[in-house]
Amino acid sequence: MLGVNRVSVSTANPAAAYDFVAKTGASFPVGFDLSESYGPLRASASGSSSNSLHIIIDRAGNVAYLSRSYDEEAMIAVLDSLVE
Amino acid sequence: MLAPPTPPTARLAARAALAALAALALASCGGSGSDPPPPGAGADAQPQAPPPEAPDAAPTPTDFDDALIELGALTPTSLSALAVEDVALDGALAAYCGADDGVGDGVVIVDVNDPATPAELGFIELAGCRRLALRGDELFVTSVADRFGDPVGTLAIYDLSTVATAAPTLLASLSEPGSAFAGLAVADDLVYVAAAAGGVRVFERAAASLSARGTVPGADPDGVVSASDVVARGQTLYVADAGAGIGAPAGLVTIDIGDPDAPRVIGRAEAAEAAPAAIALGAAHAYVAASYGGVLSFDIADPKAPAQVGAAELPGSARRLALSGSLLYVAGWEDARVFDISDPGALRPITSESRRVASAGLAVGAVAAAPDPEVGERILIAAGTTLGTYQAFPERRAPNLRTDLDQVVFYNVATGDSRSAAVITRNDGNEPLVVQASVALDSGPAGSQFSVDPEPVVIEAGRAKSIEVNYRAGDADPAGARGLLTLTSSDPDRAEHTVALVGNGPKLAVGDPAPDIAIALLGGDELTTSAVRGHIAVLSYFSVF
Repeated sequence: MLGVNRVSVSTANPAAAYDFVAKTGASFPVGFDLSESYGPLRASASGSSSNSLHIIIDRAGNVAYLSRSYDEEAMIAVLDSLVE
Repeated sequence: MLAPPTPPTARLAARAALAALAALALASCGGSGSDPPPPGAGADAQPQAPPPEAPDAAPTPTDFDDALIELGALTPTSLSALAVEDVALDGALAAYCGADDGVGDGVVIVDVNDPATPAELGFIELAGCRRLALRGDELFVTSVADRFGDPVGTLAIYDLSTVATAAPTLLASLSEPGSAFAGLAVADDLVYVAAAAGGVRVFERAAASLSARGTVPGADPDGVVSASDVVARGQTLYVADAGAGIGAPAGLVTIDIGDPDAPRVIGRAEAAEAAPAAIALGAAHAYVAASYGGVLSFDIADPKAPAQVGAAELPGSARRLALSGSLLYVAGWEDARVFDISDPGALRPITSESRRVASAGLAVGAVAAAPDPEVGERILIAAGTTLGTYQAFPERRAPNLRTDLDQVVFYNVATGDSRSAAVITRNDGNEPLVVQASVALDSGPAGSQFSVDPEPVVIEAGRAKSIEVNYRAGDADPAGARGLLTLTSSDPDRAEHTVALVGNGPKLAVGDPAPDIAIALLGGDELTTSAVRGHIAVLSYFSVF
């Protein structure tokens, strides 16, 4: 899992994002959150990371996982439970 | 309002899971809080540029005016890529290109003879356009296909001599698998191309062909690591070296090009915490747009021993730059900025010009400028799909207010407790800025309070100060508190600048309905989480700087 940039807050930075995606080879869609969801979601999440936030949304549109830490095992476990 | 989401890969659908990576912010993306007024809105914007040496009326503190005035703008329908990559200018002919790695990428050819009415002359459809150079009626273009997979770099030359009546003609082109071509320089029959980790390539052009000459290999920590841009002067090629990533060696590399078949590195100046993306030369100095490293200046009096002598911050990535007279124009993704480089060791900001692509809140800029016998100086700034023509008035003086946030969010503050947050307020103008802060509580439970020191603060030109906003949490209420910080300032363009305040806003738990998250995808599509209902969605927010 990788990162895209917003250095400041008034505008997104597609150039830095493109460069970063090019360097890291991300193969999934990358973009900028336009919906002001990050603040409330982050405030609701536990974990130690200063900026990152990881969310899994189930098929019904409900939050299934929410954490500031990137915990691959926990995320895979949640995904497995949702796929079954 | 939203475009229908189009899952970009079949693999994605097969997985029945959406992995989206969303850039994050501490505040809203594309918020209107700090939007500047539209450029050129000044009542005295003049349709025709008087010679720049015409003396400015002596400014008074109540008679500020922009030091950069928009004269005209062109938004052609041919170009739809939002990410402007480059602008080139030769006399009254200009070209600019944008690339979103998809449909709508290309180069717009523009007649800028009358700065008030820049006119589209033609359009070259070109996926992955990167950088441009204009030499008379010839346009040199680099482009990269499959930039995120196995890149194929292409250098192409177009004849624009009949562009007013016919489509531009492709004269020659050359492609190289594995090379991410970027900046280029044309000197006589040789074309120098910065090829990222492929180093620097030298090509010879004949009337209708291009052939490879020498190479300076890339990925060399003692030479060129990742070439992003080049400028040729005499026997020396000056290379902006972006380095291998954050914290890795980067800077300015000089190459002896006396023998086009055997170019060799002769000097190197490293720059800390920078990723050089573009380079321009003054008489004895080189100027580098260094992405998150801002703008850098190097003494190049001895090409074998370049040395960094100055630096200036930019609020965002410095991407492109152009030099005209004693003014340096730098385009970032947030704005274009003008510096006085009379003293290359002390780059002095004069003003900034913001342009936004309103629909997506994105702004990526490129800039070109050159002295011109007809109008004194031509200045072009491109952002999104729009090309604007400008006139500079470096003698004009005004403060220029910016804040690092347009929303301040306080969370997890217990009832009766207080917490403070800093809004970094910068003065990027050339006169002292006077700022007075006030707060208002719009809504919130009993006991909620936002507060700020109401004493006016003076921020000298080029400096920043923190404005501390305090939030005291009232009674528990899931809706939290909302308010507004208002900065009343002496910036004529931002007499009142507002920052939204949120205290203890609503929270979410596992099992709750997820908010509908809208994502502006790189490439231009928009995706919402509600549109992928029925699938499992994975979103990871990260930020890079």
